[in-house]
Amino acid sequence: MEDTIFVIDELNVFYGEKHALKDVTCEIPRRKVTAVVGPSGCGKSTFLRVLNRMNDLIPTYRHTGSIKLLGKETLTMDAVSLRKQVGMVFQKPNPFPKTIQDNVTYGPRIHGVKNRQRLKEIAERSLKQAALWDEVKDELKKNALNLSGGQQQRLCIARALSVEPEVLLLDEPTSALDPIATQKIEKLIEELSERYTIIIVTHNLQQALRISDYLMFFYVGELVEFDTTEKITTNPSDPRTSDYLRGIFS
Amino acid sequence: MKIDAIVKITFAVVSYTLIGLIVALIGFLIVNGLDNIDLEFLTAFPRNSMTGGGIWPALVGTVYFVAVALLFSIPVGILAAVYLSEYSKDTAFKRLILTANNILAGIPSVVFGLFGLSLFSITFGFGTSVLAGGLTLGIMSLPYIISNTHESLTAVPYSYREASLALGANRAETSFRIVLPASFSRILTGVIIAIGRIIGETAPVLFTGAAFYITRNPTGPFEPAMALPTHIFVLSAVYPDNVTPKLEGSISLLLIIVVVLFLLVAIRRRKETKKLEV
Repeated sequence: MEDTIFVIDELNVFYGEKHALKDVTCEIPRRKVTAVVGPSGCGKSTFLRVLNRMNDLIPTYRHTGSIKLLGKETLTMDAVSLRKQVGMVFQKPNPFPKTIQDNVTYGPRIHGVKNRQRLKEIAERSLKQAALWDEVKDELKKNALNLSGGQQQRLCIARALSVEPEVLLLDEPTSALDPIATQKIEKLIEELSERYTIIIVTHNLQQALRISDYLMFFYVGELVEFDTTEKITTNPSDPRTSDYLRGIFS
Repeated sequence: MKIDAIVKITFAVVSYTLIGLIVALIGFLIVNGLDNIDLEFLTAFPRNSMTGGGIWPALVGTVYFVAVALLFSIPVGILAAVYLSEYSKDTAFKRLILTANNILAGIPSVVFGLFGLSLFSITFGFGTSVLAGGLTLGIMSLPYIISNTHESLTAVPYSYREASLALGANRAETSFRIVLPASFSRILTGVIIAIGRIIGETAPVLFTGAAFYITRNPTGPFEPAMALPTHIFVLSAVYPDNVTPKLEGSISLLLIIVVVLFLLVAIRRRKETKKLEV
């Protein structure tokens, strides 16, 4: 992998006594789509949330090891500046109960952008990148909660893009959406991967195969296999991976 | 089957009797005094040992007392609630504070009145004044504002906080720009209820800020003022044997204000429930 964004070394994560991630070591390629898959409770969501330190909020959470983002250690850096570089979209669309415009300018505003014209430009750019602009450009002052579920989720993507992150973490972003909205988001992920690194957790293996360049397979806290999606689907090297793939396909 | 019907009828009779009594009582008092409320009653100073004239200074004083109370209890109460809901960890100590706060909300108002007399009027030297009375009412409404605001903040979905933090916002930005605005409507409803509660309180202002009778409205916070509930108390204490028209009018007016406030709350609550159902 010539161009790497995350270098993860001997990462261990605990919730109290529970050992949630065990000795995870890997390098995640830049500006590619990496899908994280595995059975429920395997630690894939935990893994995603370590990358932007959202787990810090859980009182019993502990970690050891190292995660470097473009050469800088993330586990000890200021979580606020890390999260500015590593954006996140959640399972259930969670726009703020504010206008569409306010949703996509909140991030830039807290990071110090005050100029109105500049904020407008950011809003337009983010909404265009999230393929939502054409649908909402005449109703930017309307409450975001009036949008449909799929539109809300694209608004959440636009909101994450508004602070120009390096990485976009997607935690099962389509599990609450209907098939057409899901399709739109998948297409969007493909477009976004030209400019952003995308790491997506998904329960839907077909989806992972459709959209990802790389596949990470977790099993009970262990990173079992990490390779190009093509390699893993045609020739998995670990029997647990092939079991998982077969179990889904059969 | 039969027992169900009997229980249902019994409960219905009991509840409707109760509601009927309350409505009848409030209705009687309001209607009875309504004739005495006219423009002069609302805008004139009392005359002839308060048997004539109006209640203008009591209205003005009540507004002053409530304003001082809210100026104190809204910022302090909201900040305390934000701390409890957004910053403090869920420990036994925090639960103890919340329980203590609820107990405080249930303490009789006369105790707050004596507390205010001792602290504000005497120790701080504010004397009998708008400031001392307002602060006493403020202290009294504080536990209610804290517990209502705390509940409103807790009702804000955790996902809003997560989304804000994931954008690189810190806790203060998340609390003040996302969580508080999202619960603004509920907090405001709580404030209106608090107003409804303190506007009719007699004992706290009686000890700390109420004037028996004044001929001009207070011009500063260190002067005493009249208040609607204490005016009612004074009128009934001065003329215990016969109800004066001014007393009837005052009672009617106070009840109208309180009923309107609580109707406002009911309407807001209804809207909020509807919003949640969408």
